Amino acid sequence: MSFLRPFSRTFLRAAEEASSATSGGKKRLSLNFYTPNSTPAQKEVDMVIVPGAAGSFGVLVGHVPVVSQLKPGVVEIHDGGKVEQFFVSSGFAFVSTTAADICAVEAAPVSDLDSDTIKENISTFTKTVADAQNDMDKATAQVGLDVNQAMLQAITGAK
Amino acid sequence: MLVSALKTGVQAAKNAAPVAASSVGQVRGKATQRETKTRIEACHSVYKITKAMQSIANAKLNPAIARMQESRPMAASVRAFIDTACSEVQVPELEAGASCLVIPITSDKGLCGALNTKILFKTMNTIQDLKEKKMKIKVITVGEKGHKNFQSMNPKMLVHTASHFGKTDINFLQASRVAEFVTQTPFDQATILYNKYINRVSFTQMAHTIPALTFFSEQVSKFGEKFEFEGDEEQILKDLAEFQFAVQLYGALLENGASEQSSRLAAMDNASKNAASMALELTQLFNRTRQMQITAEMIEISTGAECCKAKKEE
Repeated sequence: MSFLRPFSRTFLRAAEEASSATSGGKKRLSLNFYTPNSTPAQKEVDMVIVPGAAGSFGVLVGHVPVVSQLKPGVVEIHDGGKVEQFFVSSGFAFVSTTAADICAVEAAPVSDLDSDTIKENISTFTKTVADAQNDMDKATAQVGLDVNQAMLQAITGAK
Repeated sequence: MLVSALKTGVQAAKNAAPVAASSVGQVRGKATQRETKTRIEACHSVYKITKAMQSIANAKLNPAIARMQESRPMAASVRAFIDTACSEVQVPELEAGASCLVIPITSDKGLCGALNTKILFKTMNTIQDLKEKKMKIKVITVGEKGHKNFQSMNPKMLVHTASHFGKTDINFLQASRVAEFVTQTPFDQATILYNKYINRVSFTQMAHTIPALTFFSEQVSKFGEKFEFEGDEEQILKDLAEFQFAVQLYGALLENGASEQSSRLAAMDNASKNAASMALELTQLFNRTRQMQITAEMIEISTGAECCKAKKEE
């Protein structure tokens, strides 16, 4: 059950912390979601789910300060019953008790992803990985494959 | 009446002649008039070119400023995190013989005023300071102008150059590639020098010092005091070091880009004004000379006519 451990451990810890006074009386999480060229979101929200490299985790106000790298996946922003989904390629997340700063290299709304292009990319990259002559090319192609597979999952798993 | 008018005309020609002669250094004839005409046309074409470059720079300036401002929140966030985590950490003083990387950011194209001169001057001062502290200095220039400068002035220090990366706007991918390229040369300290954009008419030179990439990994315990790591700490800090370098470099590239456009705008504006005023001066000279020549011919004709008339009356 090790893949559940990070999520459940973090979630429980977050719940504990939320009930304590460390959130400083704040009810809502300050979300700062940045990319090098834009700011997809900068507002107060209820919760944000971050695709960490060691596993997805949810952030509520009062979360233990955490630094995590991001893997290709979906950032889910929960705000008053509405859910926004953004696909991120990679980056870092800096979480404090009052705020979550997500610095993604690339971010796009999941609704903007085109499944046909992604499927094409997957087959191209799969072939490139198989045909790769050296480690560097193989690793590069593997990254491309991982990102596209994550994008496909984001679309098919989207609500 | 006619004679007195002519007398005034001759006087005027005499007055004009010294000016014309001294500005050209010879009696103005048809040949020098042709030369003046060529010069006037040259001024007009220079004006057209500089005016066009000015409009292009004007058009590029606002998007460049926008991109620069859009990049700032993320850069601030990364910097704030590092500052929070390392707030009590002193970057260790460098010992003599440490390798220092100096990275001046310049433009690829010229005709942009004092932009590159200023930053290269600051670079030379920085290098001088580091030399006095007995550091080993390597220079990686970003931009063709810096490359040319160092090739002619200080080729031994110049290790690499990154230039001509794309006709389109700089994006984070390119900045990451440059950062990756730069960090292949190991360093104990890196200094990025760039022109920081202030407003449409001014920019200032900035130098950002970045500690060695290994500095972050060495601060695992410090980071660990304030933050928990989701995943392997060493790996995260190693990646964070590279990421923040790329982010800082990207910010510097965008600032310099915006400064370049504003500097070129001002320089081409001045050049256009100068070309226009020079064309005006030369045109006036040309016209004055032309009128003088006509007046001179008229004097000859009327003098001749007077002579014939006088002879007839005798």
